[in-house]
Amino acid sequence: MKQILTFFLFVVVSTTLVYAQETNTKGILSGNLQVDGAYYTDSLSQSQRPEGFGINSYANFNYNYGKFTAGLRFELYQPPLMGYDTKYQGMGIPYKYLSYKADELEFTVGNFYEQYGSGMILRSYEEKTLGYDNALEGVQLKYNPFKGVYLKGLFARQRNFWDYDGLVRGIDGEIVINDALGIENTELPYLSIGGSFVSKYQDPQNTTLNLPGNVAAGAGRASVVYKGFNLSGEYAYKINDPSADNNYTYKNGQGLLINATYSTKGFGVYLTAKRLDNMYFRSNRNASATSYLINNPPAIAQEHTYSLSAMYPFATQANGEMGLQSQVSYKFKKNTPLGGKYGTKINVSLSKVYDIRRDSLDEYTAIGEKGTLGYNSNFFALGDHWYTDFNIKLDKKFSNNFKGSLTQMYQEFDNNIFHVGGYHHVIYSHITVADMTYKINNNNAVRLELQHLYTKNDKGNWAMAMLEYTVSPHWFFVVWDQVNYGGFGNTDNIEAFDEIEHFYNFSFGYTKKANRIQLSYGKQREGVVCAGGVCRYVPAYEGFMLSISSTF
Amino acid sequence: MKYLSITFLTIVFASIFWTSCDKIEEPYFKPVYTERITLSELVADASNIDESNYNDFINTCSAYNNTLTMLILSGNTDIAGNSSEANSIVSMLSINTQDSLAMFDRKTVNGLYGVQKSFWNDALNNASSQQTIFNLSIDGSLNQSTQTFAGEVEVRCTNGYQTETKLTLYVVRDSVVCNNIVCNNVLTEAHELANFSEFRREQSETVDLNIDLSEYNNLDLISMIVVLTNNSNYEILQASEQFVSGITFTRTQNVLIEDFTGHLCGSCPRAHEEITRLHDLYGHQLIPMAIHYDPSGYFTSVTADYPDDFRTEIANEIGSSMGVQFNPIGYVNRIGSYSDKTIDFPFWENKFLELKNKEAKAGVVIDAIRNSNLLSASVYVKAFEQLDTLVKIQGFILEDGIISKQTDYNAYPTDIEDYEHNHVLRASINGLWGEDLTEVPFAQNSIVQKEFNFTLDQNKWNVENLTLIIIIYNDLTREIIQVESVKL
Repeated sequence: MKQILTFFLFVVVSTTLVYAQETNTKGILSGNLQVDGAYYTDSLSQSQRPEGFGINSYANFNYNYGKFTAGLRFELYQPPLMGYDTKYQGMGIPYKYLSYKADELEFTVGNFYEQYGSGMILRSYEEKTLGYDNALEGVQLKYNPFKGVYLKGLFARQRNFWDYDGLVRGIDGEIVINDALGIENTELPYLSIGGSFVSKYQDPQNTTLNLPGNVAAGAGRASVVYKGFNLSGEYAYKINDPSADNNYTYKNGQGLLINATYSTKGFGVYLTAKRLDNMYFRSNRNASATSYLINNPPAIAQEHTYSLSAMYPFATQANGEMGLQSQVSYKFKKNTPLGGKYGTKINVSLSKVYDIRRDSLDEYTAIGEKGTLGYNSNFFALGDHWYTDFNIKLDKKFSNNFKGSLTQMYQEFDNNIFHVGGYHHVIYSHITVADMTYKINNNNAVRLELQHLYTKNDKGNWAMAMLEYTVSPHWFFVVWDQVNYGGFGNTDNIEAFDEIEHFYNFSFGYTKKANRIQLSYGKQREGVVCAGGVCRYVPAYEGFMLSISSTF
Repeated sequence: MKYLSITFLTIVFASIFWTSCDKIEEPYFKPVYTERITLSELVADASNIDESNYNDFINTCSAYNNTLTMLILSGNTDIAGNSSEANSIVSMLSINTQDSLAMFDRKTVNGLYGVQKSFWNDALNNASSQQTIFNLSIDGSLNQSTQTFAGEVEVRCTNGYQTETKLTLYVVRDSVVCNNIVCNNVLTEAHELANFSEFRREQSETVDLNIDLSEYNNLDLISMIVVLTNNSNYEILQASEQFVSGITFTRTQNVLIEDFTGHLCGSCPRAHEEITRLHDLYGHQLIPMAIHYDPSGYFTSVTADYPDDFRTEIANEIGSSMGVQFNPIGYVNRIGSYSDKTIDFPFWENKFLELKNKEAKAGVVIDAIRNSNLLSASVYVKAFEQLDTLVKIQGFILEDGIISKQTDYNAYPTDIEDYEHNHVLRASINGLWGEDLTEVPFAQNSIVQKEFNFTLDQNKWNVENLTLIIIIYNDLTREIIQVESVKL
């Protein structure tokens, strides 16, 4: 309690200070506050959080005065909510920076986030829902010598919970050719090329292995935009980087990402192909999970927002994966047989992900044997099938007051790779989602979400209904229930529950201007939360949740 | 111009980055070195071998711990047995047998295999300080009925080795008289055991051994030397030796119990009874030694009633230096503080039980022969783990079955006329505190051989009832590391 008081005191004092500054000068202060608290009523949560509650909170303050910007973020986890790493326990200001933009040169000291290209060799970001934060701490320079030429460099340590550790150095250059050459004709293809190098250093002292101290990765990228077409690609290469991820093998890593899109009014095609081989890149070779990651290759599968479609989410396997994601969307015009009065949108998406093919180096060496080159991999050969997601989504507006969408999805999910729960086979599932919104009048709206997941694997079938009632502009009420009814010997998972299980939630919230407060009570199923291919396991829990957010 | 400068900058940055990275070439594993045994070979013409050369060679080699010696006697000689093997080595390596040339792991010096006498020490120093990634071990024994030496040789490589290698076994013989000098370790036979195209990291290969030795009349003189050679330059990568008579070191910790006693000490038979009980119960692992020593001198004094004198200088030294104040009392492997190692006899068993299940740090094998009153013993000591302090070796002569008088307060009358005195310490064979076993440290798995010659006092002792005890002990703490006994 004392710590919470300290925290609020801190918020008050710092706001006052900054506010005082604001009145004297013409600087701009901005920021936000988020407090998520939970009071747990179930025994499992209480055993893991003996305090009985968890609180995640942070507040960002950014102050800008002309060319100068400074900011900090206070964070508090006392203790962290269920499902967040308890290494976050504590409070402090892990993120603070000063930045100055002097004409073409901009420099930042302290903490910053950065991404080179698609993030295959460097991506530093934070995702609060995942409890993921690999902020850099050091110095960063951005230089824009001529129009269309952007150079960046950094020298930094990495955040790992409350510590900063590791050593990362990087440079990145990008030339937007049209801008650099002063071409202003928009009819011509718009070209840009870029390249980046990132290297890390860790003491190579080791009794058994000859380890590299400096490990570098390089990447080159290009993109061309022409009318509705957009084609971009990035190739990344990493030299020998023996680490816990690859069982201390010395194979070079490589990654290739190609994006192609075409869009015109009412029609769009999107195609991504990706291949990763040994592309975990961390500033600490012994780290695992999400610690010390320097890079973060983009995920190739479609990310789902509906609760049951996101039940078996895809996670990027940087050790090796190859896949394809494609999506076609089309809008049937108004007043056509399929379009109806308001038009109909159809969206078809397919993602397929495979392991890369791995062959042993020779007859004596096991695949991935420590202290070897690991394996040979044919660039184009497919390995085991891991993931398929095929879905069709229809969006239809029936009247001015009523609209809805229907999604049908088929998924194959190799749980030996993704480890959602304790089931170790492929999960085949069919998921149906109907989402309907009815506007009663200008202030009142009802939304009904019906979802169903059919599978004979893992925990079996699920059904879910959610009703949301909104009274604009201040109030909203939500109630939902997720039902697991799949067991009874109907699945091949002998550990599946032989009873109907309800996971319900009641919540309401109040919003006024930039402040929002929400209170809920519910029972949460265990599951995995993913964002951008990075996932976090959340255990089941039951209790009261309070969430306050504010922006300023 | 500006594009040129950007290009230039990019190239500079890119090359700085790329060159600052550590590209690791194979092998990725750091080599794990093991201790090297060097094979030193003297090459000579059998009919023309020079005694001073031979002695110099042996002296040069004996200064190094981990070296084996072999004598390659070429030429047509019946004495050295089948010397065709020697001839083939000599011709293969084109060595002039008329010079006094030696080889140390068959490393070339100035392109030649034979090393001149003046360079022997340097060449051996160089060879024995080289590291090796090969472990060689011979595990064989003599089958008495068939007169074959059977077993296996294990080659283990701690790191990858891509060159072709050959495993060869040499049978060598001691006491070969050649040109009127007695030569040891003379090459008589060679057996090619195996060829290996390459070794991978941690690869081990086992080769079966079956060597017919029926043509030799004294197998105690035979030993086996196994070498692993590099097939392209003949260099010896590792060597190992086993005597045919078969030295097997065990890690069993033997325990010496020194019982301080006196023939006039009436309580002392209780300790004798205890030690007999323990010896019967635990057998060879418990080695008793009765030391007739009383600090006051009374219990061991020689009187008209007790005319036999069991007192010795060595008993005095052992007893007075480590805390004996009265009788009966004893030391158990001399565990305890530097100057007081005494333990009362009722507690000997506890101490023994505490020690007996420990793995010994060293193993001792005694090969002793008594020829009338001449004792000649070869003692082999192997360190199972590295011993970092000075280790000393000492030998004792004990006599059993001495029938003499003894005071016993439990007897009536208290004087027993025909008491049997056993394990009585008679003498040390190498001084009051023995001698240094080897240099410090005593490397793990290395074997030291010590030769002892001692004249037994036929007039005072019954030489038929003697036992030789060898102890090796830590000079810093005086604690006994290992003890072994053998009846003479």
